[in-house]
Amino acid sequence: MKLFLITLFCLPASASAVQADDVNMVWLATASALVFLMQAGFALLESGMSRAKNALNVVMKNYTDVCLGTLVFWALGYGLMFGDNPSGLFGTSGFAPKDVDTSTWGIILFQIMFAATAATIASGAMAERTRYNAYLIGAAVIIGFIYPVFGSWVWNDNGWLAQLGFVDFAGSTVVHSVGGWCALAGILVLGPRLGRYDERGRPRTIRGHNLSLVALGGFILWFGWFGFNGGSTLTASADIGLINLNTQLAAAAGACGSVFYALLRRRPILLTDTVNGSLAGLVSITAGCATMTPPWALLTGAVGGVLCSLGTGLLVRMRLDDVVGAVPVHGFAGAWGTLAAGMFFTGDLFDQQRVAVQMLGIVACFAWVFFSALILYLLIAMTAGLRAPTQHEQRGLDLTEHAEIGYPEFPVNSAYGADLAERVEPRS
Amino acid sequence: MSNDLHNRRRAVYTGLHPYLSRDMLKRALEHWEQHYAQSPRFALQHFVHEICQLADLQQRRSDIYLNLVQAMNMPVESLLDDGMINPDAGPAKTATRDQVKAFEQLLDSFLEQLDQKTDQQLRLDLVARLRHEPVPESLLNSLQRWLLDGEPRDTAPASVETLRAVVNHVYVLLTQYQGPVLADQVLQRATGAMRQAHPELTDALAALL
Repeated sequence: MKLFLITLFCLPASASAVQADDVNMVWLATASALVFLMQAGFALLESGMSRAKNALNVVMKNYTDVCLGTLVFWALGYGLMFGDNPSGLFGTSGFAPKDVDTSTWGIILFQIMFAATAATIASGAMAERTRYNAYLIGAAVIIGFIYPVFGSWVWNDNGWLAQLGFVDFAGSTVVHSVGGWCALAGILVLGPRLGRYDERGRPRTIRGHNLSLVALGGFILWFGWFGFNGGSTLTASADIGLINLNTQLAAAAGACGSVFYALLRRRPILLTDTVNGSLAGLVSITAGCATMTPPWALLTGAVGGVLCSLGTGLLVRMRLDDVVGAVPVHGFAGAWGTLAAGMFFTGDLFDQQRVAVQMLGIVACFAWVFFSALILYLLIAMTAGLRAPTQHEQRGLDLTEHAEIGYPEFPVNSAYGADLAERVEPRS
Repeated sequence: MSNDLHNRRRAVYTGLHPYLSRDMLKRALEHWEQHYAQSPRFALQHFVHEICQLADLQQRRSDIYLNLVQAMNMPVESLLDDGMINPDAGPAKTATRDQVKAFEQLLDSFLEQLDQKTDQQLRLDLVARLRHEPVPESLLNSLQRWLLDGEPRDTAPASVETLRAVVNHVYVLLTQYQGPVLADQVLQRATGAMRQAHPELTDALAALL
C-alpha cells in the first residue's frame, strides 16, 4: 500500500519533468531550424546586393559553407568550444561527439547553426572577386578553429572571459563580431573589386542586381533572429517573451536610426541602408536581449543602426570594399551591442566593472579574430590564391567558378549568355 | 615575351629538365606559361603537384620542388636555355584566322563605344600595360603599329589565350576609367554589335571572351 501511494504521488512529478525536457528540446530544435533559415536570408541579401553575373556564386558560397561548416563544427569545433577547458583558452574533449546525454544533441545542433552563421558573414563582404575554393578553405578554418576558440573563452563555463563575467547572451561578439572581423581581414587581403574606386580614390557605386531579394533576405534574417536570440535560452522558458520583444524593438529601431541618419545628412533613404540598419539593430541587441529592459533595447538598436551607416562611410573613406556592409553590420554593431549589454544591464546600470569586462572582451575578440583571419587569408592568398583573376571578374564568377549562369534567359548588361557556360574552359 | 617571363621560364626548364622527357617538359612549360606564369611563387608547389601527377612522379615530388625553387633563385647566367620557346609551342596553339579577325573587330567595336579622349587614353595605356605582360614581342609591335601609329591592322600570330588576355586588359582599363558597370555595358554593346555585323565570327568571338 505504501509503495502504491509513493508511486501515485511521484508519477505526476516525474511525468512533468519528462514533459519539460521534451518541450525544451522541441523549442531548441525549432529555434535551430529558425537559425538555419537565416542562411537563406544571408543568401538572398548577399546575392541581391551583388551584380547578376555573380549572383549564383554568392548563393553557392552560402549554401556550401553551411554544409562544410556543419561537418567541421561537429568534428572539431564543438570540442574546441565546449569540451573540458582547464586552461580557459580552448576545449580539449568532445570532438566528433557520438555518445552524449539526450539534451546535448539539441545543443550541438543549435551550435552548428551558430557556427555556420559566423562563417557565412564574410562571404558577402568578399563577394564578386573571391575564388570559390579559397573562400571555402577560409570558412572551414573559421568554423573549425577561429570561431570555437573565441567561443570557448565566453560560452565555455571555464572560459577566461566567462570567468570574468563577460555578458554575451546570444552572440553579438561571439558570432557576429567574429564574422565581421573575419570579413574585415578578408577584404583587406583581397582589395576592392575592379573599378570600385577611381584613380583618385573616389568610390563608384556598383549597384546590386535585385533589391527585392535584399528586402526578402532582410525579412527572413529578422524572422530567424527570433530563434537565434529566443533559442539561446536553451529551454522553453517564460524569458523568451522579453527576449524576442527586445529583438523586435531593436530591429525596428535600427532601421529607424538608419533612416533618421540619412534624413539628417540629407541623403536618399536607401533600401540597402534601411535593411542593414535593421540588421545592425538585431546584431546589437543579441548580446543583451535577455538582460535589458525594452527602452534600453530600443536605444541599443537605434544606436546600432546609426553606427552601421557611419561605419559604412568609414570603410569607403578607407577605400575598402565591403559589398554588403558586413563589417559595419556585424563587426561594429556587434561590438556596440556587447558594450550596451554591459551598460544597460537590468538592475545594475552602468556598472563600471562590468563595462570594463565588456570592453576587454570586445578588444580580445578583435585581437584574436582579426589577426588570425588576416594570417589565414594571407596564407591562402600566397598558396591557393584568394583573389579571382581579372578575366574571371570580367566574365563573372557564376560562369568561371560554376560554369552556370544565374539568369540564363535574361543576360542584362552582360556579354555572357548561357551558351558560354558550355564553352568555359576547365578551372585552372 | 618579356625578359622576366623568359628568365622564369628558363628557370622552370632548368628545374624540371633532369626529371622529364622532352615531350613532357614541353607540356609542363606550356602548362606553367598558361596557368602559373603570373601566380605567386608559392603556387609552384601546386604546379609541381600537377606535373608529378601527370608524369607519375609522385615519389620524387619533393626533390622536383626543391630543384625548381633552387633554379628560381639561381643567377640568370646560370640558367639553361630552354631552346623550345616559340618555335615549337607557337604554331600548334596559334589563334585561327577567324579568331584573329574577331579579335580585331572586337577591339574596333570596343573603341567605337568610347569618346575620343577615353579612346586615346585606352590605346596608350593598353600598349604600355602589355609591355609588362607576357605578350609576344611581335604581337606587341603589331598592336602598337595599329593602335598608336594608325597603320592598318595586321595582328601578329598569337595564341587565343594571349588574345583573350589582351581583351581582358582592355576591360580592366575601362573599369579603371569608367567603373565596372559601364565597362560591362561597353563590352556587351561591343560584342552585340559585332555579332550583328559579323555573325560568322560568333564562335571565334566566344573564344575571346
